[in-house]
Amino acid sequence: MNRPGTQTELETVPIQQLASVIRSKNAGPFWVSVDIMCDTREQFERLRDSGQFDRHKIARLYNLSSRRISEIIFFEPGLAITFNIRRRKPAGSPGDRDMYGAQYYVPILQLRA
Amino acid sequence: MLSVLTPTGHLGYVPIQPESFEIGVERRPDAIIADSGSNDIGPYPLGADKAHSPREWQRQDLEWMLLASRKLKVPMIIGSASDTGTDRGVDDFIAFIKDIAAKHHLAPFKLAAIYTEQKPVDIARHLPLEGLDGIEPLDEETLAGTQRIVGVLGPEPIMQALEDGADVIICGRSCDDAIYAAFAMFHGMPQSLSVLWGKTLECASLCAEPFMVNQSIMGFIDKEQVIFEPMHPGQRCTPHSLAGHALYERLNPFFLRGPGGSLDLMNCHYEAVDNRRARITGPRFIPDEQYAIKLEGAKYVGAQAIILLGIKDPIILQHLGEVIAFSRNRIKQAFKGIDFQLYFHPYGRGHRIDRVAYAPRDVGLLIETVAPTDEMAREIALMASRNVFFAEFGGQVATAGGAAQLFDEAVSIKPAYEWSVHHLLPVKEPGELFRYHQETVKGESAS
Repeated sequence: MNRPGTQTELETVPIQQLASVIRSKNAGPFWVSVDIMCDTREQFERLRDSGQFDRHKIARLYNLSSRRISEIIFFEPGLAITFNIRRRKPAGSPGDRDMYGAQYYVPILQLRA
Repeated sequence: MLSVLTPTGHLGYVPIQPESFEIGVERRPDAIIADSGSNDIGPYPLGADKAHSPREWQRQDLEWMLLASRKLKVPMIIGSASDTGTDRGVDDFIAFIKDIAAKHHLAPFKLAAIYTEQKPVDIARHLPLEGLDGIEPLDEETLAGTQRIVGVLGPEPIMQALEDGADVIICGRSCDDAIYAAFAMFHGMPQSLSVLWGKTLECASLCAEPFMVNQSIMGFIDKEQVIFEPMHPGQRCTPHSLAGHALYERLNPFFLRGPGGSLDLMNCHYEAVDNRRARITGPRFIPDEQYAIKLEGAKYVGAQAIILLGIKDPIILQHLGEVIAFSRNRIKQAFKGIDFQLYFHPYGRGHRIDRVAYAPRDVGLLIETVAPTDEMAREIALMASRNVFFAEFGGQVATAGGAAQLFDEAVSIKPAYEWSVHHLLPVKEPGELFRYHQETVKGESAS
């Protein structure tokens, strides 16, 4: 129980406990929009200030070049965080395996804050 | 306040839920409006000019809406007829409307249609065109391969149809907020609130919570505010649900670009009216100096086929990259000089966008091919599959076949298309690219 990092692990919670909506969908044929929405200001601020929502960290999480990740937008009126992923294949083109972009949020489920 | 009832975010895609729609009709809205389009559905429906939704679902949704709007004697506006808003889509919807009118012996009404399809030769005169979302400008070569193009309507031509007294307006490809904004602007509401009204209503119950699809929503507007109320008794519109919808399918929730200008939501205020209704105030509309019409176009790429394999052997799964490379190389040799595409989609490998995340016990390998003919696409898919089955790689122990096959057959699917046009065409008048048609539908005598 004295392993380094154990303490931090206990203090953080999985993102599903801070956000009630985690989703993704096409924003036009070339980009996918990923939205993370909280119910309370406290949850939103905890996620916003966690340091996880940095363009380069998100790029690493997705194993993509950060050029394919847009700036991260903190949308206070919606208690939401949103960013966009540039698609490798435009929606519905040959080789695309997620035409609605509906599963691009999945790596986000690994985050803790 | 001016009101509208919207029953669906994509007419025909998932059938309308009649209970909450009927509750909305009882409230006597001033109009019934829905969009039927999306480019989420990929380039095939536009390129091939096929409906993406089943015709019967489209007809059924139109029937609910037409009967209610004729009963209330209020306008009905449909955007992006038949998913893509091609001329075929507009004509299909006009035919549905006439059939429904005849079936129910409806009193005569005025039908208007706005056609938005564009001939590639007409677009050629305007090249090059600015690309949207960071894509290359449109050039002659890309345009030449493009099967079909639609221009996306802003509110102005729809306002013209309302001006002419149309009872039912069937639009070609439309910006989804424009069909609502047109109705509000026609009644003197400011463009800022009108566009925001449309943006919030365009996916029906998605602007309310909890999550429900295709339940009816009512929107209200005056010169100061927009208000939203769900018709399903189990849903609520809250400041949070309305603000959340500003994110949906948008690149930026503060700034939305559309026909004629952009909507600035930076200073919007969201507030509860009561526990089921919420209002938004404070949007700003920034008109463009140059009005431009967005064009959407799709290009044929080839015939398409798929085949499915199941792989359980952990040694093969460990070497799956080599197995796929082996198969791919064999196809490259066998189909030298042929313009084809070949994709291997391993399902269950822990595919995390691009990377292997865990050791699976069983992987489904879907092979997708694109080729000049259906026969050749099936042939390539089958050969790729056989070469996975008999792949050669180091460490191999199984020499009698490395996959479990549900069936040993490649299947043709819809042809492959690509988005080729996603560009802006500057115009002098918002309506100059579009064609207007009007007629009186005499439902009573048609039977």
